[in-house]
Amino acid sequence: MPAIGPDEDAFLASHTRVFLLGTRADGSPTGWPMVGLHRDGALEFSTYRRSQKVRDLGRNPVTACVVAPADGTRALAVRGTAEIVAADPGTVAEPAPSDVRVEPEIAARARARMASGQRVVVRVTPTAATWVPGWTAE
Amino acid sequence: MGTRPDITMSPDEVRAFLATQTRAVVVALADGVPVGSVGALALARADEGVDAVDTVDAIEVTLAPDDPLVGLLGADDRVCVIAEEFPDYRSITGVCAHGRAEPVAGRDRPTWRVTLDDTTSFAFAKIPRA
Repeated sequence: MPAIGPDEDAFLASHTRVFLLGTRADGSPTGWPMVGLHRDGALEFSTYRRSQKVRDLGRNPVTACVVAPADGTRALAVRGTAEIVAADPGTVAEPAPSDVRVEPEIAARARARMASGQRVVVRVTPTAATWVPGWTAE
Repeated sequence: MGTRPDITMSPDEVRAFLATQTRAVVVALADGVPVGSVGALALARADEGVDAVDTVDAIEVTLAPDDPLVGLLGADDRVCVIAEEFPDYRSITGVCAHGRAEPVAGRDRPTWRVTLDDTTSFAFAKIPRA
């Protein structure tokens, strides 16, 4: 049985502005605005292997995300578990659709860094999802 | 490997950016697990209309009364507030404020004050162009 419903699944597939959440070394909450891509039932984030978020999520992979389009009256709070994985060659070659307009040369540079191993993928598998007020909610 | 550019914002830049933001992601803890929601954001001015933006040292976040984070912040006041805008890649700007959520009395909706003494920030406009 899927962890989230079809409405939630469609929302994840339609929006890429995602706040990835975790905990710092002292256990306090933290988060990072990211571009999150919905692939094969998971949310995927590209980041530097040496980034703080990789260290934090490596220490404690229990995570959450808030998918919050800038023009949305609702957002989706997702719970899940993060894993750090090397890039899939197919993913590296494929331009990423995004809510953020990215110049082609910047996207190409990110893909090259992914291919070289400088960047990795944080993959979050949702275990539950809850609707919350969105960016434009009253 | 080259040195990555410093794209953090100064305290003045952080305050100026936050003054333009009205919404933020609020992160609390449920038994140590991060839980997020979206709330209203404002600079915390001790005396509205008198304090200049450059004297502000805290923000206020407001949640809907039925938001699950209301109870969570009552049980554990550790909080993170994230404001961000992304009109395009080179204009991505964000601030993440970490601290303790201090309840603000006398408001229509649940509101907390969070100081700005533990922040991370980024302004992609500071990335040097190739």
